[in-house]
Amino acid sequence: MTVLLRVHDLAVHYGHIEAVKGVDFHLNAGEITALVGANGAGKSTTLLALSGLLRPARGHVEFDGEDITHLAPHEIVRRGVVQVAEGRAILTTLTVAENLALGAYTRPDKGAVAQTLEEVFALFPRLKDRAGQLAGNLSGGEQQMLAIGRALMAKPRLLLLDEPSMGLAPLMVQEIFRTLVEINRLGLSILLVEQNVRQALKIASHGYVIETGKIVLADSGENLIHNPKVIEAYLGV
Amino acid sequence: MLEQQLLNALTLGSVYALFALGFTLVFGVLAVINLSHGAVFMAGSYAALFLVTRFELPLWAALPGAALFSGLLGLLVDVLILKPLRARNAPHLIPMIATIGVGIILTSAAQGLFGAEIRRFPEEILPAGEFTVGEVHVRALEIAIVAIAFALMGLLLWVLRGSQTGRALRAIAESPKAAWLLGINVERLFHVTSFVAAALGGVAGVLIGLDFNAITPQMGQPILHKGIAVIILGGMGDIRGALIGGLFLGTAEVLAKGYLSSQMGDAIAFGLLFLILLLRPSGLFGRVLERKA
Amino acid sequence: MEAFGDFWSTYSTLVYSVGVHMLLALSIWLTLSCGLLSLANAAFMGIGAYVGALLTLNLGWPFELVLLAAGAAPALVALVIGAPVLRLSGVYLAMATLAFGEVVRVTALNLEITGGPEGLNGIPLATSGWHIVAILALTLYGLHRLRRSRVGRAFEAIKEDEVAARLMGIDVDRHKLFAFTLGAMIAGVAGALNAHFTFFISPREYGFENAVDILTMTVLGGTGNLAGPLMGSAILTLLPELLRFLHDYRPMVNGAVLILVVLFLPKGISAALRRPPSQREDTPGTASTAAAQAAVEAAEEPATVLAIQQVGKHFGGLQVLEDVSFIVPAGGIYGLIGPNGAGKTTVFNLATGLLAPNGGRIEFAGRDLAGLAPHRITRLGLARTFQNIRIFGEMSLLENVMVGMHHHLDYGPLALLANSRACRAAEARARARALELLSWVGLAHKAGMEADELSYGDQRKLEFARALATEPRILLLDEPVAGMNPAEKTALMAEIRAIRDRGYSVFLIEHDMRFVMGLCDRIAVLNFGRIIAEGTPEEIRDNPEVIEAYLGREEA
Repeated sequence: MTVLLRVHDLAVHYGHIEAVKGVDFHLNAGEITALVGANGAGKSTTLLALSGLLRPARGHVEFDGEDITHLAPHEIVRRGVVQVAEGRAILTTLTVAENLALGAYTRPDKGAVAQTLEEVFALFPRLKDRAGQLAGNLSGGEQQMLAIGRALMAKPRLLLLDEPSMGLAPLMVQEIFRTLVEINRLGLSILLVEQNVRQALKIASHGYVIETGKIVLADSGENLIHNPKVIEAYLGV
Repeated sequence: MLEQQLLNALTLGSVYALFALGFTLVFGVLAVINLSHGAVFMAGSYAALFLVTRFELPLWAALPGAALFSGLLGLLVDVLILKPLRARNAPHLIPMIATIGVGIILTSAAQGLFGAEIRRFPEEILPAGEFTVGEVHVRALEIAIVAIAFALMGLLLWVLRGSQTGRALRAIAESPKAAWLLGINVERLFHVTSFVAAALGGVAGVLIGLDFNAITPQMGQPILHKGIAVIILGGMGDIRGALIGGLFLGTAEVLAKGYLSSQMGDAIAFGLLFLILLLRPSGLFGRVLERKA
Repeated sequence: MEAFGDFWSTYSTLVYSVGVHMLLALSIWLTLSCGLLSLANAAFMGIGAYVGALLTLNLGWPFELVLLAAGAAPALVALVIGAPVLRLSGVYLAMATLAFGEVVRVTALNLEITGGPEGLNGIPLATSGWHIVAILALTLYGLHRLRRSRVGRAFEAIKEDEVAARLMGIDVDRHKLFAFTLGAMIAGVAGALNAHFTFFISPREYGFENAVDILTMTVLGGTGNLAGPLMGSAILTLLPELLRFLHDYRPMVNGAVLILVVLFLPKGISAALRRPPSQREDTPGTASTAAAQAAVEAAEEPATVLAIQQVGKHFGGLQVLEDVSFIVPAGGIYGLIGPNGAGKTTVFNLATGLLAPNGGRIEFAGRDLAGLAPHRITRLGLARTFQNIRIFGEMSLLENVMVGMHHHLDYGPLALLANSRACRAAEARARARALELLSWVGLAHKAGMEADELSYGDQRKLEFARALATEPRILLLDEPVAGMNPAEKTALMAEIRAIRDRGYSVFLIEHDMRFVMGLCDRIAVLNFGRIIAEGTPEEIRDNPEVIEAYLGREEA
């Protein structure tokens, strides 16, 4: 199995605060890997550093054999690492269609982009119905679909997802996770950051538990779900 | 006579709008009030004068030359001053203060190089034609000014509406972070925006210089204040608002000068502006765009 | 002596100008020190100058009286326009004050009584060096006293984080208005002083360029201390004299100074000359831990501290809270849990008055909180911390905590100016209490450090101490253990229990179940904007709906 993403000793600081204290993990091509942990554990910080929006204090990130640690964010997107940020980062003053068009910002081939758009609409038919509306008028679930669809427009090789379940009703969470599994079956690798532990680990091949900026557990998703330490950490039983 | 006044209002208003457009574009995209925009306007006007008198370029060639020159000034300000401040995450008032400094430097440089006295374009190079429609006296120059201003504004609006770059700029205006994650090179578009905005400001400077045929180092100051009035009227960062606000202010000013005293016109304009800020800080037409991190 | 006479006849105007510019720089320093960029001070100076000159010329008032009136007039104007103008923030405020300045200038240009564009001529030379020295000294002394008082701390807190300042019980709007008005007064007096040694004034002297000049002086010197504006104005007034050889290019120096300072000395010259802040003198004395009165009289406490009744909240079309009701009993530790995005922090924002509910009622100790401003709610006895820690990073730990005591320090302005015994005693008590609170959370030995230099865990503890300083009856903690390791969490549990044992009620939001289960007496569970369970930790633990909300459904 080929390793697509390898993170080595990554550390990120905010001023005097060390939010991520040297984490090591990797992700195999074609798999879903989950990064779970409590609020403030450093999950989002890690993702932002992977996308180049935060500068790591040390360590490096290797994507498909290339060191991308110090690349600018848009260069990282060009290499195929695309993030759906926390809170969905939908552009509310643009229409749904414009949001999707911007997803393909890095791709010059218009024909191919049009084809991807059809694929995205096939995956999320609701987006097609609402293409002309302002994205700010969508419901929470629809915004999450738009965020994922927009990321797919870039034809990513690795999708970084930050808490796709946040603020969504349980049924909508189910739908989003089903979609993620489907996208993954089509060949896309996914790094999933979640606080919805059980859901995330259920669909993940591998999982890492992060606590106060450090990886404390690493195992297959299946094993982690049944690991009493994980249950203890999350339910306090 | 009202028709004549309205023609003057259209000429003045279209230049105000052109000036304010660049001003509001920078605020929308870079979230900076660029108080050197007035000085860049003045610099554009001197650049055209210099090209016409020193190199004897025709006006149609001097205009793009002046646009290029002021655009480069804007780019320089962005690269040398605004970029380091962005990197440091300076509070948003800090870049504004720095651009005040730029304005002072440019104004004083112009005064040193060209003197404080009024300079004029040679009469013979100005478009000479004029004709009368009904009772309205129309100069070819005025038509050219209005045409150029509207053409440039139309072009900008079209780019912002329909092109991928335009969408990217609107994405940055809402959230630079989201824009980065879409693969947009936000820094480069900051530079492009600074260049384009300053170039538009420079062209506006040339047009005003031609309209009144008077250029002074201080000419940037009043237009800067009017630009501020316009973008507050139209809503800060709102492109269409700047267009309408510019025409509105031009009309108000011409009519006030025509029917009241010439100075009180300004007092009314700014008093109005002051009231709008208190009652509707988002502008007459706009809404407040709260920018996300 | 003769040489001095020569010097004086040549340079007296310059020396006077330095003094006037110092006053102007101090006037804008005041507003800057609470984070407001106002460009109105040149206009205020103009109002003072015109009022003063007209009183002298037309009514022949004695000069001292003229100065008073010249200070009062712009202060009055500031008071009137301040309330609406100061609602604006950041660039909007700068633009509004700039527009106001234009209105004043153009008005002076058009009125007959102000002499129109010609201005006023032949103003008697009433200003003496002593006037300037005395007024400057008085201003400096007053501002120095202010800076070291609750007001100065409040200014700094407002500058750093307005929301946090409100929640420390500070009436932010009044403080801003005070700074704006006092600044206008100083600028007005400076204007009258200036008018009475230059013979002549005109609207040109009070425009945008002058507002910028004043600002440049303060920015150059730095706003961190009083020496900043003094140095800045001295340098920028004298520099042009030394640079006469530059002729027309002279103003360029001002522009360059502005840019270079902003780029390379963001805190101004005076800060660059100072020692690094971590070695500041705020090192603590010993806390006079005279067992400070127990924060709460348990006997008087009603059984319910906080009652949330059928509260709803939506943002646009997004319903965040729906029909939320629960009761936080007195004297215990109450927990509100739920997945991210469930609406927990919104509950805190409603309770502390940062947001208004769209329906329902929130009662604190039997009192309806509807319509109360955040600082009023804090003063009633409700304090909170934030999920993303909002301490005042550039203030010392001691100052941070003392900001929390703002409304318990009730000395008046006269006591402050006179540095009366009551005032000193109150400050000393506050200081001792602050040190005591810092030692509760184990930070007393770092009291003089800047808060930004603390580690994450210590910043949380500081936020606790600061919240306790408001003497609350109930303490609202927003995810207190976010980002902490197990050892720190255990220590914090003990600390929260200790706080409870001192008589405070605690109401906390938390995501960490283990922490909540081990600590809380009762728990409410919020999911998707609704309360889905309420009860003891045992009841919650066995509730299948809660488990599902938390871990996700068993079978997906």
